[in-house]
Parts: sequence; structure tokens; C-alpha cells
Amino acid sequence: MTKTVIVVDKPEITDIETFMQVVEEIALRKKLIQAGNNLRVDIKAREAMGNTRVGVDTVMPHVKAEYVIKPTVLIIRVRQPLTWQDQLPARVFIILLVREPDPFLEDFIIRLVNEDFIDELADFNQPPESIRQLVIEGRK
Amino acid sequence: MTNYQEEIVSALLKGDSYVTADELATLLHVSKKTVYRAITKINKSVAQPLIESERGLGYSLNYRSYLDTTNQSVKSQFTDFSPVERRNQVMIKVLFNAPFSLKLNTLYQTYHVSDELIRQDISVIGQLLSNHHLQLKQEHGTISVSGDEEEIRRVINDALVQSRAMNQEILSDFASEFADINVYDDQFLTAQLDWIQRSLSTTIPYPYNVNIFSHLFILIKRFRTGKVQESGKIEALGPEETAIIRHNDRMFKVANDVIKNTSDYLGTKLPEIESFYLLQYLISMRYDHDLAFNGEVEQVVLKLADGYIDGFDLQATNSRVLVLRNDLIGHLKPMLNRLKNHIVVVNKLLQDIKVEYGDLFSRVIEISRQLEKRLGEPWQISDDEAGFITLYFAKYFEEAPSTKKALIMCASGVGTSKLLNVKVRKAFPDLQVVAVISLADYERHPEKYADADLIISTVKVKPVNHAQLILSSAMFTKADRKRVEEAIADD
Repeated sequence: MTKTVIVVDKPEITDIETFMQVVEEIALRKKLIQAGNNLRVDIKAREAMGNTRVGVDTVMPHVKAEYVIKPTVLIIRVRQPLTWQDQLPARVFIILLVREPDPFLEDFIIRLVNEDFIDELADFNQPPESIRQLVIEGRK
Repeated sequence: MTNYQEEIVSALLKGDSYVTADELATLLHVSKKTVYRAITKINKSVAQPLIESERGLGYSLNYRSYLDTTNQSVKSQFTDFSPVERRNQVMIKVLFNAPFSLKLNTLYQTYHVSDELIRQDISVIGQLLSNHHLQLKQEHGTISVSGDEEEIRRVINDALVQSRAMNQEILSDFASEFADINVYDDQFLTAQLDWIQRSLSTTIPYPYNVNIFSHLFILIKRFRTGKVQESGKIEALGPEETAIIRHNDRMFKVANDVIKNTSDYLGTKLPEIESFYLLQYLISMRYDHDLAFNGEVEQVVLKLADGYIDGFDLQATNSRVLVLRNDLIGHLKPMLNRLKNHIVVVNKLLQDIKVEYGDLFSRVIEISRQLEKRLGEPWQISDDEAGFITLYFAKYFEEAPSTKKALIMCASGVGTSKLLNVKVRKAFPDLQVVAVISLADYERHPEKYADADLIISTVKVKPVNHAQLILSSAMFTKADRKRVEEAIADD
């Protein structure tokens, strides 16, 4: 069971294209995915099938693919809401990189049932490291 | 208007379509019953209904009526009596006074209507009374009624039912509907109700409490303002009556005590038949326990209960159906006594039952007509009574565990479907979730999921069998929940 959790605040991002670029860059730099992947296309394709919104301004874009090296929860928070593919604003992006079913990821998703948990993830007063710890800790 | 009533109107004003009783109850943090009651009161308080109900949809505000009402709230307090209300009030007065006559001038002085209208009223009242074999006599500017005492009281009772006084659930509210019921009568009658409850170690719920209260109120008024004709029947109870008394000796003793108290209160010796009349009411109530049964159930009661159960195609061997059958028998036994003795109970939820459980109600009516014909009995099950029976079946069907099978799906089978799965199971614990799968899994092996009735999915999919697709957000919003709820309820 893996527990790769990355949380970054990117207040400078103001458009979706830049956001997608940043996601891919982080994933490559941290060796979460292989080079020559379809990450950006796959995320968009998944959203096109049906939105992944889990909270008022929180979405959970995800891919399940062979090119994923490390199953990961990558949380990116932006200051200025971006218009997501469902045409609604989003400020917190919970990106899941999945290769095959993973108990940690599954447990994390189930925790999203709790709206307070989603609110905590979106709390900019909590630094990224606290959020990371919160996600890693799992259910108390 | 009370706070509840204002909140309901305000909720309907904000909503752009229908709002169900359930939604209003959740919003106000009250029971559905309270919502029904509040809506009835709101509509009763204005000239034309403010809130309209539509079967299967819920409630909506009649905006025109709302504007009229809010513009004329002061004026509405002075709304005239409708012709039906006026005739009812006049008829009740004349019946209470029977066989004595009353001056038409005095009777009509508060209504300010023409002689022609009075003439028409009298003609209508006369016709109505003649249907009950009562004679209305008019001479020298006075009117009076004569006829059988039981019929006189029955018509008074029917008129009280029609005046909606019996919609009052609490005795003091019921008593306040009558201008001429004084504080002593109110206290005396309430004490008799308490006495009956204590003696039988039971609680008399609405509407039976109001029924007994009104029976005793009519009795007191008949002896006080009119003259009760002692017919031959009063002198001698027949073998049938004697058998009923013997069979319900404990209740007859209580009825006797109450009639004796009433005699003392009125300072008049009441005839023995009054105890029998009261006994008829006591055996026509639904009790919390086996008090009314004496361990025996008449064949006709069993036939009725089984007739309804068969009519709904339920298997009498199922344990839930057996519980329903027992509940029904408990209700039908006193109902039969009511029907035989012409005791009318008002079902103030009737309109709401028709809206909320329209199909069930229609079916109950249909089965009732068939059973009446099959059993060849002289009585007919009224809409009010059918409404009560409907509630037993509504409870049965609402509590039925869902037999529907659901698939929960998303694109990957590991993302939003996992979240949705937890939310759906939490909201619908009885729904059988057969699998949480990816769209690809489903499209690859549709035969594995052929028995699914619902597909709750965050992605679009074309069901390969009879399954109904409910496209949902991973947030599983209120609107999503409602659609699942409707799909589960849909047969």
C-alpha cells in the first residue's frame, strides 16, 4: 500500500492550460508517471464523460493508466478559482493517479464523504504540509 | 398565521415548482402530519385555497389567491357565511330544539339575508331532513322538527362533521368551535372523557375522543334545549342489543357511569337507552390493546381483512403481511361497529392521503366496493374510513425493504464510484448494491450485471438490459437522491 501524497499551493495559476501543465510537470519531476504519457488528454477525456466534482469548489480529476508509476494523491490549491470543465469554479484539485485498485487511495476517497474533510483540504490557512499529514494520517 | 404556517407559505413562495410534504417537514423540522394540519388550517383561514395539492407532485402556492389574501387580510376576517354554512347552522339549532319551534326572525337575524333566501334555505333543509325521515314543520313564522331521536342526533352529528368542527384534534379546540358550549359543559365533558379513559385504562386518540365528546355534547343539548321523545325502543332493548351489552359488560358499566353522571349534571333522569348509545361509541373506537376484542374476531372482520390483503396481491404467509393483517383486524373490528351504528368519524387527513397515496387510496376504494358486494352487508365504507385503511397499506409498502438491485459506476471504477457507493449506501441502506464497477467492465461483460435494476453512475452509459440509468454527481446532491428514491419507489 502506497502513501504518496503531494500537496502544493499554486496561487499564481489563473488558467486551466497552465494548471494542466503544472500537473504534468510535477508528475514527471516526482517520477509519478512515465514520460510519453497521455496525462492531460486522459484527464480531459475523463471529465468529458461526467464531472468529478466532490465539493462546491473541489474537483477530483483522475486517471487510471499503465503509465502511472506511483499511485498518488496530488492536491493542488489555487487562490483564484478556475473555471473547470463542468463550467463551474474550482480552487482545490485532488488529482488521483491510479495504476490499479489501491487500498490507501480507496480509503482516502471514502473520507471525502465527510464534507468537513473537504473543507479542511480547502482551508488555505493550513499550510500544504499540514494538509499532507492530514491525508496521510488516514482515518483516526 | 402561526410561525409554521408562515414558514410553509414562505417556502412555497420561494419554490418555483411543487414542494412535497416531506420536504416541508424537513425544512420546518416537524412531522408530515403537522405539515398537513398546518396546510388545512391555512386553507381554512382564507376565502379560497391558498395552497393547492397535486397528486404525485406535492404542494404549490395559488399565487393569485396569495395576492388577494395578503391585500385583503383585514377584510377576510369579515367573510360572510357560505349558504351551506348558514343552512348548517340554522339546521343544527332547529334540531337541538326539536320538537320545539323557533322563530325564523330570531334564527336568521345574524345572517342579513332576504326572505326569498330564507324560503330557499328552509326548502333545502326540509329535503335533507326528509331523507332521514324527519319532518320539518313551518307555521306562523316558526319552524320545528319532529321524528326519531336517533335520526335527529345523527343529522346533528353529520352537520357538525360537515362544519369541519370535528377536524379539531384537541378537545378544547373542538369545544371552542361552538359559541354556546359554556365552560361548565366543557369541563364536565372533558372530565367524562378522562373518566372513560381511566376506567378502561386506555387513551382515546383523535378522532374518537372528539366523537365521544360531540356525542355527549349533543346529548346534553338535546335534553337541555329540546325535548327527547321516548320511543318504544327506549323502553325495551331487543335481544340483539342485550347480547351486545352482555358481550361488552365492562364497557357497558363505564357507559352507565357516564350516563348517570350526565343525569346528575343535567338534573334529569336519562333513559337507559342512552347507556347503550354511548356503548356503541365505546365499541367503535380503535384501542391500543385488545380491550375491544374480548379475544374473538367476527368472521366478517376476518373476511374484510383478508379481502384487502388479497386485493393487494399480498401473500398471507409472509411475516410482514401477518403483522399487517393483525393491524388491519384491530382497525376493522371497531370500524364495523361504526358502520353498523352509523357512527361517522372524520378523517381530516383524507385530502392529503388522496394526494400522497392516490393510487393506494383508489385501490382501497375499489376493493371496498367489491367486498361490500361480496359480503352483502347493508353498510358502505366511506371515503374517510377508506382513508384510514389506506394508511395501513401505505405504512406496509413504505417499510418494505427494497428489492431493487443497483450497480454503481464511474469511468475507472476506482474514482468517483467509490465515493458515490458510500453515499448511496448511507442514504439507501436497503438498496442492494451488486457491484461498484468501471464503465469498461460493464461494457465488456454486460451479462454479468443483467439483473441490475438501476445504474447509478457518474458517467454516461447505455444500459444493456431493463436497468434504469441515474446519472449522478459524485457529490450525490439532494436532487440525485430524489431521483434514486423515485426509481426505487417506481414499480
